[in-house]
Amino acid sequence: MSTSGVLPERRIAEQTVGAVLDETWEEEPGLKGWITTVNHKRIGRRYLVTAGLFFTLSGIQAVVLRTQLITPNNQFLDPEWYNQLFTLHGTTMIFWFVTPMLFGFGNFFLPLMIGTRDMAFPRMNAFSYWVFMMSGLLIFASLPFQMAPNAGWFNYVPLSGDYQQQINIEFYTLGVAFLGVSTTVGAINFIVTALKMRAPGMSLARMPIYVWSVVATSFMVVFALPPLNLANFMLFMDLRFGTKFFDPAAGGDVVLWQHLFWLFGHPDVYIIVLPALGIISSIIPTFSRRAIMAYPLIVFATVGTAIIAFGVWAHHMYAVGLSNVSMTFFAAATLTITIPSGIQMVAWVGTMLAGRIVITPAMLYAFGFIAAFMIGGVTGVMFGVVGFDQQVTDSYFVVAHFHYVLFGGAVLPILAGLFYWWPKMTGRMTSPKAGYWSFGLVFFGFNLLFFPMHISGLLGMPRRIYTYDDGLGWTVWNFASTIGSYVLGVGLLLTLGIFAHSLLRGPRAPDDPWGSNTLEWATGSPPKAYNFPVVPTVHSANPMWDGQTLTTMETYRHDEQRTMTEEHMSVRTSELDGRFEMTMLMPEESPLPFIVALCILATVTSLLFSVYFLVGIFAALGTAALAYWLWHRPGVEE
Amino acid sequence: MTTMERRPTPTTPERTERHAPERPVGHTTGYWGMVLFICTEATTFATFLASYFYLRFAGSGPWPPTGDPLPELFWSSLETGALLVSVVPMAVAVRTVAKGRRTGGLLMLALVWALGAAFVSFQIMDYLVSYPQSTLSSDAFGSLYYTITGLHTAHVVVGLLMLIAVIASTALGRLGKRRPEPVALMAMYWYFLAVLSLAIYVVVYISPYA
Repeated sequence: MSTSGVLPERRIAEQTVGAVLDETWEEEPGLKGWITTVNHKRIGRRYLVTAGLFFTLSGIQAVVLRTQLITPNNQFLDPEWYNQLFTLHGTTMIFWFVTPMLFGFGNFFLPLMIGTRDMAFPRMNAFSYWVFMMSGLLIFASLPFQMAPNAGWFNYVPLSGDYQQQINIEFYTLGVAFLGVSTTVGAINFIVTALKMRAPGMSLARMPIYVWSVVATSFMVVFALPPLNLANFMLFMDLRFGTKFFDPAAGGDVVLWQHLFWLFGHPDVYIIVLPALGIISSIIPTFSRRAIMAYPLIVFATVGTAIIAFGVWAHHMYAVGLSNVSMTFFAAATLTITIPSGIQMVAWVGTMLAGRIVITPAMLYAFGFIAAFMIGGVTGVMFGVVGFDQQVTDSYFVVAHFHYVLFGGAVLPILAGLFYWWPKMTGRMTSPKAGYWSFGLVFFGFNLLFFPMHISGLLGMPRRIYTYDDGLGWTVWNFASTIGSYVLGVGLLLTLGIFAHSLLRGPRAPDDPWGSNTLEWATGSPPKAYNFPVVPTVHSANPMWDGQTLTTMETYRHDEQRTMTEEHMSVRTSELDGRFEMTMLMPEESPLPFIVALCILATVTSLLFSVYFLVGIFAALGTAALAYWLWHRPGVEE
Repeated sequence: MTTMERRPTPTTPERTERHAPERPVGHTTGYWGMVLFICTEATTFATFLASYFYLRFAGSGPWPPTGDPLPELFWSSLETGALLVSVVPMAVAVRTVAKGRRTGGLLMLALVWALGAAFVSFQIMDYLVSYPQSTLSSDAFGSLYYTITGLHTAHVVVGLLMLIAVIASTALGRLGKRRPEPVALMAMYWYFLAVLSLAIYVVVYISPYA
């Protein structure tokens, strides 16, 4: 590496074609460019920032909830506010924070990791961001008017079928369905990008594990979101138009909601966790200074998890009164799914044992993740056993379990990923020492917050109660939890401060600050709009380390098929082997994604408030905009 | 890496040809996008049909519930038949447009559109004849009947709108020998709708007789 931190191969390639590509890939500046951009890195950053903002809002809700529970018989919040806050906290954390945050990483890094210049459908990509952002604004806007969903994040009927709270539940059904558009479109985009746009030579067997995990997740989204959307559609129809899907008096069935919801809901756990595991699989080899152990087994485990996840949903319903046969089946499937997770765990630990560990904040967070995810996994196995589950279901033990899985298994990896990829995203380094403090506070606060919930749960404290009596033995554990939430809050604020400080004062980052193994580090920090001046030929699963892949950026710098200087173009390769097929023209910036998303927002909002003529107008406008969009496809205007 | 094939370095005259948007090497991104879109749509309807049976067998009463007549088969058989038959001209259209025979392709696409429109009209007739008094909100049977068929019909209407765009593009020469792919993608979606109509016919119209 040269003194300025630019990889020599990239420097030579940039000198040859960089100036031309800069012009080709330049986007309009200012507000117009801000709305029309299709650059996957800008969109990815936006996803991260927006999801981070939603995380903050939702986190504040959690702190308010914890404050209510700090002492017995506290009157800080009334029950209705408490219901809306905990429902919105769960709903937004699951739907509007974790998945979009991981989609943000995917958007930014998936094209970089596979050595291409953009996502397969760049305008669809912009569209899915706008839909996500607008649906998030819609759902958060419900809270100040006390119209927020209030029947828990899984919104069980008949509780949610109560006509008294119609508008609250309609916010839930329409908001979640609206977001579903974004998630589905984004997932299809990831799959197609990973299948068709990998750099030549990157066969599936050389694809980074992170990319595998995003692809597996996206396949799960494609098959798991439909039941959720359908359930929301049915509930909305029940509430608004009087259908009887969930009304037992007229031939409906309330348990149908639970089946449909968990048919989505359990795969969703892995939709959330798999990409997070992918982040860990990127960080551990880098800071163990060796390739990941058992690559094929990890891939098998990732794909296996994605498949088995569809056969375990009823373990959320052991208390419903299903037949013993079905409970046994789902218990067996649930215990099976621990095997792939165990394989990954062993592979990570093995990689570290066989390697030479380098301690950085990202690696510390990865350690923290392994510990927390282990605890969450163990309590998960306990829940797989029917008898145990029936004892502690709907208690704080559940709350403890899924926060270990979701905070430990997803938020800690997200923080690890932020520390790891921050230099690539911003071109600035963060302070390692402050990073250790961030980890220390977050990890301590997290455990102090959630570990006592195991105990209060075993002592019989039900979840979702807004207050409790003294003398039940829960007081001290709740007090500890609340203090933990404050510590965690301070830790997260410190983390935010570290990143802000880095943006303002951080030292410049070189191309490859960690000496990592995957292709995103072969680009500039931050990457140029075109990512790679010359699309390399990939020679191994660790392209930065094989000594051949980077050289090809230099070798092919005069090859028009690899530089594609004339227009917005990208390489298309075959699905399995990554053989070169052709160069293809990519769409350029456009305001249409924003306009169509805005039309959908207007349609949904009018539907929510029953202004049906506006529904018609906005839906027609949206359809017209969509038609115009599809009409003007790249490569057609000549 | 010896199996890696690289094309010869291009020369200028070749360039326009090389950059043509569609070229018959491997599947396109559009193809995979459509496949996945159909996957997610098919899952939605599969879940819906599964819910139909769930509600039917979870309840203990007769099916259809007392007071609801059995579905009329006349219009529903006609509509399903129309959509299934339309698959043939659609398949022919894909081939004729790809070969560059514009008039033949347009004719076939127009025939598909007419059959699709017939489907929608027959569905409306079916609503009027089968259940003159709405059962959407009287019981779960009616809710299922109206929403499943309604959702499918809405999809066919979207398909008809897409067809209009495809027909217009073909007429203007934007689709043709040089760029046949959108017709093939349209056809994939249309086949999906046709197969789906058969599944819905069997579940919603035939199965209550069993």
